[in-house]
Amino acid sequence: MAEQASLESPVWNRPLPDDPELAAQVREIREKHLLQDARPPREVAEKVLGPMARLGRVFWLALIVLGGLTATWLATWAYQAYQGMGVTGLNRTIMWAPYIVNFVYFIGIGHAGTFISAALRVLKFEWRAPISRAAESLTVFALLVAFTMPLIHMGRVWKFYWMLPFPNQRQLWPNPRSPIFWDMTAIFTYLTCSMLFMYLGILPDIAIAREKASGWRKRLYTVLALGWRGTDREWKHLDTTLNIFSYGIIPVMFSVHTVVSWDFAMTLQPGWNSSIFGPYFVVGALYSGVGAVIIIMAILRKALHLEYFLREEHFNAMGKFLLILSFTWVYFYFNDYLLPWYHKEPILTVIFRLFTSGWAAPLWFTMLIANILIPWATLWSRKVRSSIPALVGVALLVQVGMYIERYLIVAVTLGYPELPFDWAVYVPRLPEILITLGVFAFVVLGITVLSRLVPIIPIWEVVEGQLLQGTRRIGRAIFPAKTEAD
Amino acid sequence: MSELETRLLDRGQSAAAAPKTELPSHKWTMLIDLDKCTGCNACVVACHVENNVPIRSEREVIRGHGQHWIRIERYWEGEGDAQRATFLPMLCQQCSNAPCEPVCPVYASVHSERENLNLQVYNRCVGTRFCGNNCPYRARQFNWFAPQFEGPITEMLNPDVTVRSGGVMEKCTFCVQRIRRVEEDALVEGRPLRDGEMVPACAQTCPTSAIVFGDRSDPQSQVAQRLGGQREFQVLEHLGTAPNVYYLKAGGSDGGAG
Amino acid sequence: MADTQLLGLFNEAASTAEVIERLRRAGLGDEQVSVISSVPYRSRMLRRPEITSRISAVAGIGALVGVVIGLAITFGTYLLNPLPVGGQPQFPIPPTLIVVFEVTMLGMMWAAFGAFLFINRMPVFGQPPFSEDVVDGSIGVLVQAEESRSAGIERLLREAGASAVERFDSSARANNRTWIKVMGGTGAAVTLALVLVLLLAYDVIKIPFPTNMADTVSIAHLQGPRLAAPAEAVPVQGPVFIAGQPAVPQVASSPSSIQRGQVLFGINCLMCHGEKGQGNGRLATYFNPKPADLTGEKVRAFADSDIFLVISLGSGQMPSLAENLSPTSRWDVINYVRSLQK
Repeated sequence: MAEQASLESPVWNRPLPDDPELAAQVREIREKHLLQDARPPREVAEKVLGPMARLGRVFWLALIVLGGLTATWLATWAYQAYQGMGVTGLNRTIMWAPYIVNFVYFIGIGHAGTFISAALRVLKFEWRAPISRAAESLTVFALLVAFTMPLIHMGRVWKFYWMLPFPNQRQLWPNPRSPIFWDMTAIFTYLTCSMLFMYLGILPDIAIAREKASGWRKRLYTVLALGWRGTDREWKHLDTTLNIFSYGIIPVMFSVHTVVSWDFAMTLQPGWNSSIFGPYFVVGALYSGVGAVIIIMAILRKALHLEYFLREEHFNAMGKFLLILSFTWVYFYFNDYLLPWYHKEPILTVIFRLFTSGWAAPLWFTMLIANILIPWATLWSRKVRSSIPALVGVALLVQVGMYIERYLIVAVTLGYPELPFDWAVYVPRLPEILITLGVFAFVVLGITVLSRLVPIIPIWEVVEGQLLQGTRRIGRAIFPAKTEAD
Repeated sequence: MSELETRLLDRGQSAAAAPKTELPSHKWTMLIDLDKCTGCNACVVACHVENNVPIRSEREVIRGHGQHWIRIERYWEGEGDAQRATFLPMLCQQCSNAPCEPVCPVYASVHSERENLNLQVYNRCVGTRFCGNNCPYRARQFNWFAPQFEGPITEMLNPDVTVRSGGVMEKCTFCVQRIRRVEEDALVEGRPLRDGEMVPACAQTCPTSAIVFGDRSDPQSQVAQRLGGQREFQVLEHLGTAPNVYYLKAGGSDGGAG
Repeated sequence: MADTQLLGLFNEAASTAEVIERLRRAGLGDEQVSVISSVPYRSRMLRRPEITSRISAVAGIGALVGVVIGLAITFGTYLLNPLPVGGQPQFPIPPTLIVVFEVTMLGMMWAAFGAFLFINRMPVFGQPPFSEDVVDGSIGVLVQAEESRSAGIERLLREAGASAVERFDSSARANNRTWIKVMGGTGAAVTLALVLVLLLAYDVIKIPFPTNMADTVSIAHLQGPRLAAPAEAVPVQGPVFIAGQPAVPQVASSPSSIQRGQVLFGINCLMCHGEKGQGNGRLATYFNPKPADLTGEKVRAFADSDIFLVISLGSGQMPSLAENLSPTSRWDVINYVRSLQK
């Protein structure tokens, strides 16, 4: 009956079955699943666009605090560039630390956005619909920040353009053999294509916002919508383009974090030159990225009152995803640590002992607890996965754990080269701490502002999903069913 | 103006007319006899003076910002009364397969195949410090701050050597300015280089002559003669960097270096 | 002939499919009709002809361009800068593959985006024919027809159950014009930016920036002033030439000294400084700057000992005459020069 109804009346008017028992089942399904719970598009759009335009006191407070931290970041950067890199805690042995830790971390959390919107799109995981744009915006801002990190860390940042390939009077082109050059091309590709990908997906929603908004927002959306109308032609081209981007951006995503890992793996530093670093970093990136998306989802849900869109099912699914990634990450991590334990190469043993019983042990064990123990102990339970505070707590711990993991790899391991004379310890100083705080603030600031400027829930994808989903009755039970339209 | 400089100037003026002279290639090699090293640090001072290496304050050195192109690494061996210090002068090993070179995104670290040297082009360097991380010897020195030479120290500056700016990586060059000078001397005089003519500052100042420098490709040179003995080794040979600095193991019998 | 666009709004897919069928029967081509919706309806749902998108082909071309650019960046660099690094070959393959891969993907995706804009004639910065009802879930059928037929079509739409019919002036051509303007403007801006970057890169435009390594503290060859050693720090043995301290006692000016000086001047100085010491000797034309005018203000202001040092050490392009003139003869020459100045 339900399928028949969808052809005759709009999807949001699907009648309940006459049988009260079946009707109760349908009601329960609708309550649980966003894509079964169709409402008139007007109402769906209002649920997204309404809260977006209402800027409360909390928003302005957040804007001031985050903006202040961001300004501190820029000021500290200027101070550091003027004074020289010596104001940081870096030293002769540990020439990379705080900024490269941030670099790896932010590239990492930038991976989840693409994975959720591109890979899950290709695989037709419908539940991703309301999550994808928040995840993409996280990707874009995290990548923007990550892109600045190698610049912040450069000794002569005012010469950064020497690393770009363009004709110049110096007649020297950048060196394609350098992993930094690979980084530049990979991150540039990933960043620009992620932005375009996100923009393409936003277009139809901006057109919706254009019709609903007034004043400066109307003018802004009229320009941003580029004249999108939603003709069948435009939809077809958009679908094709989004498919090309999805298939194109997935290998780029894998390559980006692999290239980042090659920054380390290509060196002769013990503990770095490992061939497992590529996949290990990619999985670590997805792990921290999915955790970060969960946090962003929870914040946006609260701040923009998106309870209708972001439901238990989404947090549950993301929780499962996080658990699977935790398993995978542990597999690679164990691989990376089994070797030095087994073959006892002197310098690797030193690093291993440092983690297990040296000064770095508290960090190492905190990381293991945050990354393995707690996720494994909690995420198997549906109750924890469905409870937003609990899941956000676990996701926050994963962030802490993964940040420490990068810190251990970059800032601690690097202090132990082959010759013991050079062993050193890195202690962060105020500039790095301020800059790190500032970049975290900037990412949150970016998402906060963006979520007030563009629909952070893909309205059209949600409505499309609702159009294509229905129910199917087997015997006395009713189940959600989806239509394979493509 | 010295006689030499006048000659060189003349040569420069008529360089366009003169036939192009190919400088001969060399395998510059340093040999450090650890049996002779007393850890006196004279080489460190000589290097600072010769190469305009910035002198950092005590506070900066404690923070790991000291810049020495050559340093004496001291290792303790044994326990109690039998404890002895051994010294390992560490400088850029001028690797033939230098790990610092390919990682530089701007070609600031390149190889000279003619001289078998690892070159650092200071004014190309943008300070990514990738080379410093990838040097297993940690021989590369970064200018954490712009170098400052106070008062009469500016009078010490060697005009043959650039003063590097802040944010730039630098390292031992095997006193390449001295290599140039003796090469051009020999060219002007129309003779091959003589062994022992080229002496880097550290070797020149070493009171025990622990450092020997020369062209390995000349079989008669002191370096070539002394290579190949049982005491010879290279630091971190197993990494395959093929250094051009060779060490002779300390036997510990003469009580000097232990 | 002016075209009109009519937008009929329908509640759901089935009736939309029906009206499209009716329009087709009324003799309107498929290209004159389009469907507007805020959700993608598949062509099959509305009985619309399948649309084949050419974007994939353009993306493929973009990928090929990416391959070419990637190869150009890498192999071009290897060719232009044959710098040996780390014992690697001049044309290393694995790093090249990484860079080429990234640039290929970049080319593919940028081309896809560009093609998307081109095919849809985006951007248009204005309100297109649209209705808020479409946002609220209606499906719009947009018919483009000649003015004369519009009344009939409007009737047809209403009969088919359209909840509303809106009328727009055709703006297809205006769209094309704005598209050219916008794209041309963007192209011009990008070209201008590139030109600016190149002007900067080739030092045509210079921005003074106090970080050049040439500006760091350094001592160039024979650059002064140098610090003099503290008095008596160096034991004096033999003649020394320190400013203000003539090593050889000055020879008092006398007619015989001036006469000796004239002869020596004629031998050693005349060819450059000229007969009367005015800096106009026969060789003077070969020099830039010109030899000093010995009767000029500058040389007049010199102390005798300064002139002695210049003769002994040379100055600028003037060579040292220490080998030609003994210290005593130098004083004779100085006495002669002073006599010229009178």
